[in-house]
This record gives sequence, structure tokens and C-alpha cells, in this order.
Amino acid sequence: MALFTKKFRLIEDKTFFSISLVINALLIVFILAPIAVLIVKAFITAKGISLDNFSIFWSNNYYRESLYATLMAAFFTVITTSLIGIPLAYIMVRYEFPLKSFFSILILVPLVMPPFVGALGLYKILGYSGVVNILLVKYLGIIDRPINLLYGEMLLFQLDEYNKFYLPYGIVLINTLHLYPLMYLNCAAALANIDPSMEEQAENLGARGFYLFRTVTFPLMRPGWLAGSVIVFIWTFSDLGTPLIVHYYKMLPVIVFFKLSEITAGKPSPISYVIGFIMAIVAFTVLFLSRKYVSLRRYVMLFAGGRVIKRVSRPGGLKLLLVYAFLIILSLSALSPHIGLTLLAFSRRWVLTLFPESFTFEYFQKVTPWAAPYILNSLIYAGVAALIDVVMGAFIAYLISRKVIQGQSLIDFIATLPLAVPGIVFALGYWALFYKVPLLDPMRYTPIILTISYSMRRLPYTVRAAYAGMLQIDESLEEASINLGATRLKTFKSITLPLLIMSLFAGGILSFINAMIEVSTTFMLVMTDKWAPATWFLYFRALQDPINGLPMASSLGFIFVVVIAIALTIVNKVLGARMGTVFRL
Amino acid sequence: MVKVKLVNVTKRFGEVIAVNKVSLEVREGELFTFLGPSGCGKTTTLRLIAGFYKPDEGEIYFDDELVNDIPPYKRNTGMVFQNYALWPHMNVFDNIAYGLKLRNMPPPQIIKKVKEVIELIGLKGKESRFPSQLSGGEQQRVALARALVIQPKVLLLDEPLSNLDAKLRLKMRSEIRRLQKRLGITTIYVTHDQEEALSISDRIAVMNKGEVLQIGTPLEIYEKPKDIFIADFIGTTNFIPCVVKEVDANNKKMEIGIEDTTLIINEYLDGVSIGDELICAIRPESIELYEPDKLSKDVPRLLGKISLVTFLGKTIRLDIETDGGNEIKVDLTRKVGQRLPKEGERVAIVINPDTIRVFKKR
Repeated sequence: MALFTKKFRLIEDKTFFSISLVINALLIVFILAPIAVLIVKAFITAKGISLDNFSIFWSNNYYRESLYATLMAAFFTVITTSLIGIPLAYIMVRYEFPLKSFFSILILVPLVMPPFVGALGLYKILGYSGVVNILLVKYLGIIDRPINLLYGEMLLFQLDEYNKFYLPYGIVLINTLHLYPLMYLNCAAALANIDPSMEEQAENLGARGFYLFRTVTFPLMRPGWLAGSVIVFIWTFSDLGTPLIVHYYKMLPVIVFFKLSEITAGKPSPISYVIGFIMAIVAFTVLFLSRKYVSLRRYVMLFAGGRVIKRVSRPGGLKLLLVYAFLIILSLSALSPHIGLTLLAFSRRWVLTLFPESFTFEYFQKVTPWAAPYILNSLIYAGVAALIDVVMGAFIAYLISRKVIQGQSLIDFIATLPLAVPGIVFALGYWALFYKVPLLDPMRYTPIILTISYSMRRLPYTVRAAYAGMLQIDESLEEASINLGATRLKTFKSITLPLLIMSLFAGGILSFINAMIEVSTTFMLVMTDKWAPATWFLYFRALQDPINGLPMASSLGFIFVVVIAIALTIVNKVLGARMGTVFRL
Repeated sequence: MVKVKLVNVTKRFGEVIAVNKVSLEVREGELFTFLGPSGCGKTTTLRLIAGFYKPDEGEIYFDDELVNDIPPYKRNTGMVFQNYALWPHMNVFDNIAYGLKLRNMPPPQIIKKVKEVIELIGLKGKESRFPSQLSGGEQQRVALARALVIQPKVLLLDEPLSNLDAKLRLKMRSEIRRLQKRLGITTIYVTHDQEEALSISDRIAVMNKGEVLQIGTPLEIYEKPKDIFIADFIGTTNFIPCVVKEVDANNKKMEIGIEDTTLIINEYLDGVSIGDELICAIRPESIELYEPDKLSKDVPRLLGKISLVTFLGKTIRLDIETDGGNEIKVDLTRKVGQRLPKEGERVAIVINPDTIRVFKKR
């Protein structure tokens, strides 16, 4: 049967075969090739192929320290998000308590906030003149000079005078607040998937408490934790927006961003490509190691029937108190950027006081007409990109899940790549490959290349959403249609697509949201006001306003948050329990 | 080795009574089976003994110690789960050694112990394999070894063979039996498979809807089912209506009429009187068939016609429609070279009266 269908598919489905060729071509040109060119450029020097660019990079203290700081930031964010995400997953999966559903929504609130907007919101909370400093200096008198908790760095250790490892803890803080939900969602899904008998068996043999968790529960949820760690690591490692907003420039993406002028001036920019190369290698290594580790141990649950009795308990007394304390502190911290942003956007005067003195719509009124064309640009780019993603995602998910043609694992691989590849690397690759190419040159055809970059960056969302949907459609439904004489394309249109449409829609909205808030490729590919989207406007225009920069940028950020919240609510309605799958690796 | 005693144990899940006033005693060193259809409360009872649930009422004793409030990790029972619950992140050795490490055994001794038990279950050389690299039967053995190595007071087996294919199931069945006899360990076995229960157990408790209906040796359960449910659940049984014609309360005998035949049986039910309608249960193998005209006139018989012949290899199953309108299944052992009966053939049905059980109508 299997043999028969395979042959049948290859011979009979010329249409589908050509569609898969087109998709492959697109993936290769816009995902694989830019990365490849970037890697090659890192090795090209005046005297041909060599490692000279790397030695230039390595001999520069500032670059080296930036590499260390970027790695440290990513590494420590993984640790902090784990420290929050793992206990949180345990609490939410294993405990029943009053107000649980309320908290389960509250702890996901950071998802509706683009991190660079969140950083804005924290200005007035953790910044120089922020609430925390005012409390510490003015009211409590613990310290006499305010500390900038957002910008802050500390020396972790030094190998020698020239190799100092700084930890930009402000960036770790902001990213922790933003990214812990992703860690939590991945861990919770893994934890919920553990067959209860695994732990019961350990209890039966005498294990309990932390020993049980350490030897059985945690190892079994490790795949989820690793997936979460990879997302958090790569995100922090390639984040451009947050360092820019808090003015911490000793990060690799920031260096590439500041060196952009070299490329746009047509000069060689070897350091940019070296950094791009390093970032790509780090991201790939992390992804590869996590995959390798997970598959090596064959974590597939050997589930062969038997009853599933959920291990859920109702904590009482001190335990319940601790659970509430943890959740309340976490929710308050998670909400602080939102609170800060809202207060900033609506406050008339807020200088050196704990709370604003009066409120106003003034900044909204100022920023909205000014920002309107840019917001429109964003909507168009993100909309078109999402549409491209929906179409491509549907076909790719179909090709992958139904194994229509050989080589589908290559498509799968390329379509997943954007999850790991930093936006900076993408943008650099696009410069390297499409500079001065008709219709694609970032200088002259910004809207086209920006839309393409958005769609490629966010393709995994629709592929995943569609793939999850495909798994729920029994293949025999399609085989019945083919058996009755329909072609594969006809079957796809009349049977598969209607069943898939909701998943695709949800994936499309996620692509849309993420294209709207995309920072790194936007900042890298947009050169002028002319075609700029709203994120670019927020940072380069609204925030740079000498008088009302912060409140106006916050007002715009507030609009972002509202849009995302609405979009995510729709996705949640559509996907329901499958919501979590799209945030996982 | 301990004996396990349940006294009036009840367990509810919300409104549902999963286990209802169960009292029984599992003797030292015996293999005791809970048998019943799914949802009858057998696994719940096992989990009560393991300590995963607390009884709502009643007491559970290991020997004379009340264990109601002892948590599962202190009960020292060895449990084998239906899905084996092998930890995929540990190899065979680590899976088996887990319980020993928890008992703070010094490493050299752990190695020795694990080695012994691995040899006992015949998995030598596979210590460093991961569960996913083992066959179903091997996984089963590892799960068994892991439970046995801690020398538990009681071995608890929850449908241990249900995930194996038919041939392997037979093999593991006798292996478990042999191992259990050799180690003399008190064992409680849960299954829904009556054949498995009959073949492996010292004693069986048949359960339905949370209650224990009958406790007895396999032979007792099979030959003297106390209840129409048990007669139906264990093996194949013909249920045929009959009428009481005579009652001999002193000798515990009755005369019953089936269709137009009268039989004297060694059965007696309290409170029956002449003319009562009962159900009689007859095993297919306790029926003999004759050609009607070759049977002497004074042997009581039913007459009928073969409606279906099913060849099962060693035996032949015949479905017979009697002239009185009953359906009767008959198993015949076929001798080599013997011809198969034909559908439509007329036969005389002779029932051994000693094998007939009667039950009141429900």
C-alpha cells in the first residue's frame, strides 16, 4: 500500500510536484541563500578567502566583550526564565487552587507586549527616574544616588585584563519578564504529557518529594525545557530592540546595526558579516545540540494503553500560601511594563514622583495623526506577509505531513530555520544578496524586500499551525476523495483546505502580529521615512522627539499592545488548547 | 512474605462507587487474582493496596499492620503497571537499580543484586539498553525485575500481559507463574482475561461493579459459579430457561424440565417451589451429541438442528437450534480423520446433569 501510494503520488501529481518546486525555490532563495552568502562573505578579504576578518574581530576588545556580554545575557536569561518557568509549570499543571484560571491568563500577559515596548514601559519603573529609584532614594533613603537598573551591567569574571565577562543585567531583567511565558508554556506542555504511571512507579519503589522530581519528573519534562531554553536563548541572543531602547550597546546585534552605514554606502563591512556568521553559528549550535540531546535519549513516551489518572493535588496551608505569593509577585512583575507604559502614555507630568500627577490624551492626539501613515505601512506589510505565510504554510504543511514528494524533510528543515536564525543574520544576508538587485534592493524597493523578509521570518508559525491541523485530519478522508477520481490538487482544495482553514487563520494572525512588532530586520532594512513601518517610526521618530519622545512612543506602544491583545484573543478562541503549540519549538 | 487483608474497603470517586465494601484475604505466598470486566473496580482495589488511593471506608492490613495511612513510597510493594512505566531516560540497569538506590544500598551490592535479577528474568547483556530499544516482552521483564529486586512484601501486577501479542502472552504467563512460585512471593494480579486468570491463579476474586462476587480456586469459579454474571463472564455458557418440577430439599436435589425433557440435577436453590421458572447454565463442553435414531430411548435429550459449524482447530463449535426454540452452543473435540458435522443435520443433545447450574431469573 505504502509503495503504491508513493509511486502514485510521484507519477500522477505533476501539479503538486511543480508547486513543491516553486516552494522549494522560494525557500532556497529567501532563506537558505542569504545565510549562505553571509557565511561566505565573512571569509572574503582583500587577499581572497581567509580568516583575517575573524582575527580583526577577535583582536578588538570591544567586539570580544560584546560577544561575551551577548552570550552571558542569553545564558542568564535562560537561567532566570527557567527558575520562573519550571516551578510555574509545576504549579499550574499539578495544583488545583481557587483563582487558578485567573492567574493562568495573567501570567501570559507578557506575550501581548513586544519586548522593546516593554522596555519603554519599564523606563519609569526601573530607570534613573523610575519608581523603584524614587522609592529607594527619596522615600526609603537606602541609596543616595539612583542606579539605572535597565542599563546596568556587572562584571561577572575576567580571564585576563582583555577578556572581561560583563552581564547586562538590565537586558536580562527585561527579557526575563518578557520571555518566561514561553519557557513556562514549553515546560507545562511537557509536564502535562508525562504518563502518571511513570511517577507512580517511582513512588511505589520509595521515591518522593524532590528526589522524585529530580530523578523522574524533571528528566521526563526535559525536552520541553530544552525547547523553551532554545527559544529564550536565541531570542535574547539576537535581540536588537531592547538594547537600543535601554542604550546598552555592547551587544552583537547592536554593533551590526551601527555598522549598517558601511553596507549602505557600498563599502565592505567584514565585521558585520563575521558577527552575523558567529550569531548564526551560535544559534545553529544551540538548536542542533538541543535536538540531538532530545532525540538521542529517545524521549518518546512508551505509552501503551492503561488508564491516565492525572496527578493533580490541592495544596493547603503553607504550600498554598507560597503558591499565591509566587503567583502574585510574578503577575505584578509581569504587569509592571504594562502599567508603566499605560501611565507614561496617559500622564501629563511625571517627574520624580511615584505616580503621575495628572492624566491626558494629549500624546495620543499628537502621535496618532503623525504615526498613521506608518501604521498603515505596517498593516500592509504584515498583512501581505501573513497572506504569503498562509498560502505557503498550507502547502508546506501538506507536503511535509502527507509525504507527497521525496525531500520533504529538506523543506521541513528550511521552513523551521527562521525560528533559529536571528533577524540580524537574515537582514545582513538580504543586504549581501539583494543589494542593487532590481525589485529586491533594500535601498530602493524597501516595501518588497521588507514584506518578503517578514513572511520568511514568520513562516514557521503558519507551517506549524497548519501542520498541527493536518495531524488531526485523517489521511483516509483525502484518500477517499482521490479514490473517487479527484486529483491531489482538487482534493487539497475541496477536502483538506476547508478542514485546515481555522488552523491556518490562527497561524496567519500570529505571523501578522510578529511581523507588526518585528524590530531587527525592520531596523536593518529600512533606510528612510518613506516606506517605514510603525516600529521604525516609534524608535527613530517618536522616541527621538526631544520634548515628548517618551510619552509619545509609549502612546504608540500602547496601541501596539491593544492590537496584539485583540489578535491573540482571536487566536486563542480559534486554537483553544492547541494555542500552546505555536509558541513551542 | 505477608498476607494482605481488606476489610469492608470502599472507595468513591465523586458519586461513583468504584470499590464497594470489599473484604478479602490474600494468603502468604499465593497468587491472587482480581478478575472482572473493565470498570469493575479491580485496578482501583490494586491501587488502594499500593497506596495510590486512600480508602474512604474500611481497613487494609499487611499481616496485622494497618496500612491505610502509609503513603505509597513507604509500603514496600512492587508494582508492575499495565504500560510497564519504564523510564525512557534510564537504561535497563538504572531502571532496575532505582529502588535499591532509594534504599541506600551500597553500590557494589546494588550491582550484584541487579545482576542477579537480570539473570533471573533472562535479560543478561541488555543492561545498558534503553527501554525504547527493547521488545515488548523484554520491557515487561524489566518492569517485573524492577518490582522484584526490592524484595517487596507484595507484588502487584496490573494487567501485565495486556500489551503483548497472543503467543508472547502465553509464554510470559507461565514465566510469571513459575517465578512467583519459585520466589514464594505474595502476588496480587489484576486481569480482565478469564483464561489468564484461570491458568495463573491460586485463587480468584471475581469482581463486578465494585463488588466481589465470588472468591475461589479457578476450578471452583469455573465449575461452581455462584452468580449468573460469573457463569456468563467465565468461559462460554448456554443459558436456557427451565421449570422446576420437583424439589428435594433434604438431598439438595431438584428435578427440572428443559423443553420437553426432564433432568434430575445436583443443585438446589433456597426458596424455590414447583413451577418456578429458572435459568440453567450449561457449558458447551459438557454436552454430547448423538444421531437421534442411534440413542437409546430412555436417555433424556433435546432435539435440534445444526445451524452453524465453526472449525476451531482442536475443537468444533456447533450452534444448534433446538426444536423448543433455544440456541445451544456445543464444543466437540474432533478426532483425527473424523468428519465434520454438516449444517442442517438433526441431532440429539444429551446434557450431563451434574454440570448444570441453575440460577434464579433476574
